[in-house]
Amino acid sequence: MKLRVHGLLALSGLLLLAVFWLGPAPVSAQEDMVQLRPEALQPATRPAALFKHDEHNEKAHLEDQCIVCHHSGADGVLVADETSEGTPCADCHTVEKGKKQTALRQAYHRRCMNCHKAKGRGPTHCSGCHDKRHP
Amino acid sequence: MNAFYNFATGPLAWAAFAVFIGGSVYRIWSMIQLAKQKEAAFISYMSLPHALRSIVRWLIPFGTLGWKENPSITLATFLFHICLFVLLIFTPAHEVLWSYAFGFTFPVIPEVLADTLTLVVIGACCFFVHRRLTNIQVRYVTTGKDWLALGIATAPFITGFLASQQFADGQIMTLLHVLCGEAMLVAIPFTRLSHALFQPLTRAYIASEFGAVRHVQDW
Repeated sequence: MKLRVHGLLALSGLLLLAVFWLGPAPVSAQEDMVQLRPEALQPATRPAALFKHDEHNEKAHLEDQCIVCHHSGADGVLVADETSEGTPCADCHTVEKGKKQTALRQAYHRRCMNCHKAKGRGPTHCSGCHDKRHP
Repeated sequence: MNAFYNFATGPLAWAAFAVFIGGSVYRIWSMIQLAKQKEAAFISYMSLPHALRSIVRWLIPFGTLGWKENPSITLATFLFHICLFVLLIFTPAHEVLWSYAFGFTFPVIPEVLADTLTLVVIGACCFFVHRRLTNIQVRYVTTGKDWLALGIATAPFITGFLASQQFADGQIMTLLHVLCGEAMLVAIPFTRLSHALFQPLTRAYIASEFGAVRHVQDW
């Protein structure tokens, strides 16, 4: 009887370990992205903007139009047809505004809000993205 | 709802600023014309040094006999106006809109301080309401216009506080806050809130007579 209990305990322990080992990988890939939380803008005043990458792009019909957000350019001039997937926004857009470079926070706000306004869909008010219920 | 919010924060905001600036210029211009017509002799006595001295003096809390006479109204008035200007400019969410629209940034106050100052303003407004209802002299001279001005001045702060607390779904309160702010801008030239435009002229008028003619202080 005692052996059986120990056996069960050991088995559940092993199962727990397996769950932790094989559980969700660290969130880093775009498809797992749920919030925009650039390190450069920490500590943030508001909760990070909710942004489920794949779900958003499916709804907005942007699956094959990565360049809308992942653009390329320098000195304030966009390079047509050159995308920049994999490069975080903060790699080019610094927190402080450059001479011909949009500041990081403004780049986020303009990218999201201008598109939402142009399409007439998606939130443009503060708590529409920075939701205190999802800090 | 999104479309109306975008209209309220876009074209309607520009229209509100246009009416505010255009209306203010018109009201000040027409007041000067009226003064020239009715008080032509007085214009010659207008004295800028006396006017500036009086304006500065009356901007200091408890700096005048008038302010010392009613400490509670003095305290409420200064708290209301100082918090109004601080919140208007230095609320973090307001700075984000400046940065989004025009690309310039400036230091802001923490959100918790903005919320606290908003409650201070609402408290001051409650005091103004209480005073108008309970002080017999004030109640005697109070008309609908005074209640309208007080209501328009209070509304942006109540809706702003609820928007910042994300009351309901957040969007409706933010929308109401924007609309109340625009209503206040439009109301400044055309309601009792026009004291914001005429206060310097009123002080200049009294200060010039007291200072340049009677050679006495007007505080």
